[in-house]
Amino acid sequence: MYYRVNDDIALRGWKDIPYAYYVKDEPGARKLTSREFFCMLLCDGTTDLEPSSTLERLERRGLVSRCKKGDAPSAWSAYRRCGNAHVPKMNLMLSGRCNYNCPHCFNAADNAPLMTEWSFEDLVRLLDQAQACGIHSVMITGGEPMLHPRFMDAVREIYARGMYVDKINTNGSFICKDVLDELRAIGCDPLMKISFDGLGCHDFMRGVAGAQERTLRAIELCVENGFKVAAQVQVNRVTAGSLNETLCYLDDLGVSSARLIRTSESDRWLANAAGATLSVEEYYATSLEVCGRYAGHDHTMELFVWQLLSLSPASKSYRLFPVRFAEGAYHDGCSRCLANRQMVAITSAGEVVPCMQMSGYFAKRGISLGNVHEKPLSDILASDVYQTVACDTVGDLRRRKGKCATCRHFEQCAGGCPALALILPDREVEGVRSIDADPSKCLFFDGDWQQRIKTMLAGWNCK
Amino acid sequence: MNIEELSPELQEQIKEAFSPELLEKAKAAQSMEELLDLVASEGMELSEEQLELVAGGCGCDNCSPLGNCF
Repeated sequence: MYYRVNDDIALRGWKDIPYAYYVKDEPGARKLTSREFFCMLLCDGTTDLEPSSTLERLERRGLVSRCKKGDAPSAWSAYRRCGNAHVPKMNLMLSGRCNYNCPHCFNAADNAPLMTEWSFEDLVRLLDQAQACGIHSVMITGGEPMLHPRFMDAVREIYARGMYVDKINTNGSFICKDVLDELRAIGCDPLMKISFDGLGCHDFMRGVAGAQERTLRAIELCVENGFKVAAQVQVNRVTAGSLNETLCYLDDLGVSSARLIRTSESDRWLANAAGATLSVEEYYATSLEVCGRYAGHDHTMELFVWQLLSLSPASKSYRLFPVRFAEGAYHDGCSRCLANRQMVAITSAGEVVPCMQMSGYFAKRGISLGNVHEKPLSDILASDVYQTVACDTVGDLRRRKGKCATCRHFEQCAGGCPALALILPDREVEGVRSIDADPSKCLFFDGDWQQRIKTMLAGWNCK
Repeated sequence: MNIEELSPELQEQIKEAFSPELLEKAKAAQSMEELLDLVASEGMELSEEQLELVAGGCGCDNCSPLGNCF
């Protein structure tokens, strides 16, 4: 009997993960046992196979199918081993330019002369490299990515290489029916992450009159045309008062999720809205109050509070982001940050960073992990300095003998977010190899926020 | 199943994935099940750290969900 790997399945291996598989347009690599992997290798359409329980299992799972002799798997499906460590995702800043002028954002229109953008030719070269490194999904961001003159061509090039766009970060100003139809025609069905900073606040937060109306219309169009929308909402003293009403409004529009994000102390924000930043503690308190009100009514939309928690109304449950490990589940080998470990972020200037949150810190201090205009992506991913940051484990953190090493909460917390550990401390961190505790998580545990949340969300299950 | 009758591409992949010792044993395998048993017995299963990186892998409850960041 002859079998082939199904067309929506791709066998892949990396330096650190010898075998796994991707499902087309679905996130993350999936595990295989060595037996399953070897069996799938034999499903090449040319090897005559005997019945086996492993084969039956693979067929039931939708990974392989019987075929005629000679019917080989597609080029995309066939096993390919990449020489670099496993990185399934890329966060690509397609353009640093933006048509909005947000008072908190470095990419604002005011700063357009400073901004870079990928040339189409360089972008194609980058996507070739991303494909060769075994990257599977791309999140497109900016600036405003749809401002790029070849935005749709960029999306086509991603799909032409068997990768897919899982998310687009956008201000929504370019979204219309034609754009959505064109994305659909390419087979692109991303989560549309649209910034919306609150009813009555959005025009100020985007620095453009009429932004609120345009953004809400963009959200409506996405929902009407079957695209999932995640609203991104800045939380500061300007927007705090509108959050409750805004979340209800977004839920009524059919938005899938909303994420509240503390506006951080960027230079531009401090210059434009001095005093409007909430401290971390104030952000927790404001967000918790909003969550409490939200949880007290019937809603469908999921709510994320960046760095703090997520609420799932469907299951009446919440999840605490600072609590990384349940009791007894800690182990030293876990990644310090799975986002850093599994996603490579590339700025519009070609700089490789573990995450965009860190990019401003790096740029200001002249720290570079590598630039893809100067060095192949695979070389940068293999470099010692990139590996140090991206592959940092919680055990490594503990061994650095900083604040985390002696903290009684460590085996629950595991040090928190490395980006915030760089950005938030009052004193300068001695380089990326010395990243220690994330102060926002120290505050969470020392301030007993777990109990406060439990009290506010009484009747909800903590997962 | 005679491993040497497999396609050249498959033989290359097997050579890349398996140690020379395993390859020798694999050549002597009489059936596919025997071959799969051999592979499974060689301790090639993914470690806990490796499983963390693939969906359905290690069982950490709250492994830095990407929904928090991006």
